[in-house]
Amino acid sequence: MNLPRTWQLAALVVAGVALLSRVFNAFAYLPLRGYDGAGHAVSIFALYEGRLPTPGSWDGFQPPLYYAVSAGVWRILPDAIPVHSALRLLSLAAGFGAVAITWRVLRDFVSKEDAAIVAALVLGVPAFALATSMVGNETTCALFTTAVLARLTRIPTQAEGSALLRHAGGTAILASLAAISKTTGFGAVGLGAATYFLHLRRRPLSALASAGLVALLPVAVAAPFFAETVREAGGSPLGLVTGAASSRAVQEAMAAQPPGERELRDYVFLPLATLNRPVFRGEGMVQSVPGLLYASVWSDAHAHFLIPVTEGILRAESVLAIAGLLPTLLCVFGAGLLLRRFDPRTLPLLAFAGLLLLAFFRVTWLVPSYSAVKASYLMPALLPAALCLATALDRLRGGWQIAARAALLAIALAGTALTTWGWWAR
Amino acid sequence: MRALAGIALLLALGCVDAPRGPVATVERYFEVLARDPMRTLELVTPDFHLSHALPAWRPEDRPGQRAPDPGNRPPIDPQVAVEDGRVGWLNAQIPTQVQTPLREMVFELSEERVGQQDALVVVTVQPAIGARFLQRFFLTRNEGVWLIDRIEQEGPAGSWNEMARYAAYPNEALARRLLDRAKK
Repeated sequence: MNLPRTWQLAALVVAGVALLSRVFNAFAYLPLRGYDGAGHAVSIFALYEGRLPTPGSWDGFQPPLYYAVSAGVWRILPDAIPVHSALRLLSLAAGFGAVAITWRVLRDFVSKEDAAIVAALVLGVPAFALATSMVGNETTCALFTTAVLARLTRIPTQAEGSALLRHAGGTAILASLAAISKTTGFGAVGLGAATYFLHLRRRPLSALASAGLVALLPVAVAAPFFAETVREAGGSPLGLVTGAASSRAVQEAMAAQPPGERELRDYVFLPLATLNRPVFRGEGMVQSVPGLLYASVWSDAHAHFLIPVTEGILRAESVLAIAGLLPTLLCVFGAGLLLRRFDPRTLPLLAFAGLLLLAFFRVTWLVPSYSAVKASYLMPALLPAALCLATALDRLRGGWQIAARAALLAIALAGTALTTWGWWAR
Repeated sequence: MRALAGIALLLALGCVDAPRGPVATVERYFEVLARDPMRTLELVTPDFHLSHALPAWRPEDRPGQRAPDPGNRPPIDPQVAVEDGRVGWLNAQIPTQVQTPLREMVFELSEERVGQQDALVVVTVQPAIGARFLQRFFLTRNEGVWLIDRIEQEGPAGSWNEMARYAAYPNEALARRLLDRAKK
């Protein structure tokens, strides 16, 4: 038996099951239920009518690319297909696209089997499964950000000036698309420019030209929108990342949510509920940022999908949250390995993940509401996280590696089963 | 390339709807309500979202949330008020409590009065549980397209009927009554 092919085939089957589950969810899950489903829909409707989303409306602070593409899909959609279902398929396509790029990049760093297994696992992680089952711009942003990060691992440092500029130009276009998909995508712009500059620092002209292109094109594309958004939010840069700065409705909804104030202990306190009641109603969960973040990776922490929350659902979520410890610990271990290697191809990816995490913690401090603590905001760091996990998996040997691979595929299947709409009602 | 252009043209032609009359607009309303909520946005005027008065969010939607302090709220931009109304309108169509009664309702056209720019369409609604009620649609013509501007209902009160009436026309007044009833 060809064992490497068997692992890849098994991963393909797991990926296929995830795809089927998501297509089912697109049509079966309650219309527009999900993170800000109605808010996104209203912005899409604005573009459908040929106008920009109204500043100060629920999702009016979000960049317009996703809404424009969605409005285009709506325009050509037959009446028989519900609009929200088609838009969920768009989320699915973007999310699976991001994972396909991730899988391709992983093959440059680890074995084909481990690349396939980690990609299959990502498809079954509840945070990813829910984002690809909902209407929203998270997966579009993840797609373009992942594409930018993938290019940063392959900067042709020895290439001639024109080839180098072409490469930087492609990256600049993708970074522009990331930036106008969702504000978190803008992180890829600064990091992309810095990476080109550092990689080419021995050729100052090429370094400046490439970094300048990667920085300036996205700024030129996104600046008019972002300037208006900041102005609408009364000059607050917070207006770029949350509607709470510009929309009174969002502000009131967020202000009404616990905990209401953040303390430093919220960032180190990890309640037991993280594993045995991994939803916001679990004891101490609305206070604990790492607890709720972990729960929103491995379960439906904000109760938007697995509803109504029953003891049976909580038990299922708890099982997956406990199982999620294995990939999480492997991911941390892999991050340590990558940092020690100090590989210039992977350092930008780690830096991006670190910066995104810091920005996330900062926003949770400024907006002390439990709904600000969602793993889906970190989806642009999908590639770095997958690379860390794959590196750790690749490092294991013999029986440990076989056991870990099998466990990861089983966790992926369990995640997909948990996030297939309606299983609890049958 | 030419084949692609041909397909694009066919798709574009396919998505251009023939203008709907007032009754067809009302029929479409019942077809897509709570099944394809985004398409309801195409059938109504901006003012419709001020008349149903559904808020973009309500504290009762989530346990543990506090209602905002009603005092000292600055006036809201009219366009933002419409957009917030659209959010409330879409959110109201999500729960299964709205979808299930709708699937079991029977609708019958009772009356149609069409003028140059305004129309009235009255529909008799028979829910699966509860007494029948009337739903009046007031439509206006905007650039040749008939749009629902306002809805009124008439019929007996009672818990089952109010749920059915809410499903046929989600609005804030009925939502409040149903919430108050649930609290008791």
